[in-house]
Amino acid sequence: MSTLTPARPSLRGPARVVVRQHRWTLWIAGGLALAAVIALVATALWSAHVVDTFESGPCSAEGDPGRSCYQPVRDYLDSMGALSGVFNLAGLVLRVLPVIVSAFVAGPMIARELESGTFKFSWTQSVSPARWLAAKLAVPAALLLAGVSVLTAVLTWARSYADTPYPVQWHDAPVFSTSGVLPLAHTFFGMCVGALAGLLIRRTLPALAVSALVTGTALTVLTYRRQELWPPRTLTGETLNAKEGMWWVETGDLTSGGERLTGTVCSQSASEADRLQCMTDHDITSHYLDYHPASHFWPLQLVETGILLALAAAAVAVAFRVLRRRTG
Amino acid sequence: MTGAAIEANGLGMTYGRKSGWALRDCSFRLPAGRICALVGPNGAGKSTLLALAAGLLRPSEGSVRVLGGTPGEARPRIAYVSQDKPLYPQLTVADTLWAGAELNPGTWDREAAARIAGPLPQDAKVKALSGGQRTRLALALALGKRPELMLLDEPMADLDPLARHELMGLLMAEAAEQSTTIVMSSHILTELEGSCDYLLFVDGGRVRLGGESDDIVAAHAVLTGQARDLAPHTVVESRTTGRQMTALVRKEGPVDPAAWDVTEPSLEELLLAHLRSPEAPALLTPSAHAGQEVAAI
Repeated sequence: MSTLTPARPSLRGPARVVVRQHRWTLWIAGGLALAAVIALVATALWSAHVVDTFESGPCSAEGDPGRSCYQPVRDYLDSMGALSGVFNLAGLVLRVLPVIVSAFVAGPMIARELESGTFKFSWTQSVSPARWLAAKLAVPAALLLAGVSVLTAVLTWARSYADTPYPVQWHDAPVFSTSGVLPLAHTFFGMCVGALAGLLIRRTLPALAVSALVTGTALTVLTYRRQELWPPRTLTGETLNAKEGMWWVETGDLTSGGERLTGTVCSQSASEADRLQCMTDHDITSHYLDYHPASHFWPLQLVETGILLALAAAAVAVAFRVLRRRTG
Repeated sequence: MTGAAIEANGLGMTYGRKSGWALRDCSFRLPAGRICALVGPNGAGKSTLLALAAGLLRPSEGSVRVLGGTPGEARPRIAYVSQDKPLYPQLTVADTLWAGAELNPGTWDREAAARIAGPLPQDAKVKALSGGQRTRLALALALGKRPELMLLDEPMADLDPLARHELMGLLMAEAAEQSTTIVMSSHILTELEGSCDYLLFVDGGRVRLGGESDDIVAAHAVLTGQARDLAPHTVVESRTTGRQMTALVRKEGPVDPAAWDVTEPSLEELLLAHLRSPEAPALLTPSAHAGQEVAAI
């Protein structure tokens, strides 16, 4: 029924249209996510079963197993290796997801509408361009928030469920990037870069390519620089008592004056005597190690998340500004 | 109804430094409740003008006000059908009408949309429709919105004569019932001549004629007689064959019926004469002058 004053449309209508437009993509993505969850849970349970079976047997993977155990131990390590391969694959998918999301938002969701002219359909209903864009961000944001959270949680649980002979280190890039809140931050960043690229480039394939490239590059750079995001702790001494679970940032030698000599000046020495001579020549009295303890997991995660969300917010702000300047 | 449906002041649009002006220095007023033909040759700026009024583009200079506000503010009260009839190709006809209802809460009129879209296969995807079917669907969406102003960019180009006649009839009936203002563009005047009572003639990015079609025609005359000075009348176009002269003039005072054989030109003759004479001055009738509303108060 028509009324005198048209009701101000909420985000609901445009959001529902976005879902209807991309329903096949959403079905496929949902199906893949569900399959991934099932595969991860099954792998975790199966791994635990393999571990139990092996440990209840006479053999041990530690030390010299004895001749009769060679084959069982090899079989055990092989199957655990294959099972942890599933986790690595899932981690890889989760790391590539931001790039895929970025490309999809930039190309098929936004640039294709601008390229084919279908944006005119939306913008000339009672939906302002700003609401159109907001819906295009809100729908993937809500779905990714749910999907990525579940996947991250399941992957983290699955990795730690079985007592595997291939334990993962918290600071390894494939692990650190796929635990905590980083998968979400990476994905939101990719989505927002995609929105901006789609609006600016306005052609499907170039927008898709540029957006994927920018997202991939930014996340790669961040992965290589992430140990700098929080001040490390330092260990010094004539012998360094490094423990399990430390993330080595930098190690080197210290002179008697406390000056740092990065790298390993004397490690090329041919013999122990040469090495001692080299150390004396360089006035090296002790060594140092910059490292992140496991307690730095959350500070590192949160700083990286903060940076990515700030960049994402900036991209979205620019995108809305571009849209407002372009339309009446 | 005395308000303006569209009022443009010094409106100009350029798509980039190299491409020149698609529209320049456009000032006119379209009173509400009119059925307006927006005519002009290809590339005259008709589509740009309609897209500006629909709020799809932001003017490079000047301003356009629609239904008393900015095009953005008037968005829920305007319907716009673009020349290329953009619809989501992967949606079905039924989905598209559903989207119309979702995107126009409060104003959507299912019956009005169904009257137009009825003959379409409801489960067919938009990408499988013919050009004419897409036009029908686009018009169904426009009418379903119950707009106060309809901006139709070459709406009938893809339709066969029968469908054109039918849809034009439905459109006009709807407009009469709701007192909707309609602006229809075309480069073929005859397509619109019978239905429209208002005229905007755009050429080279400028409005050259604007006002009630009857008044515009009545302001001109075709004079035939012995070749001589035509002052004080403004000559739009003249042709001399030997000592005989035929001229289309804009009357500036009474014409001497003894000296000239006077006939009224057809609208088409008038437009063709203006197209052939780009230097002829613009003519806007009083109701088409921007700023009229202010002056009247």
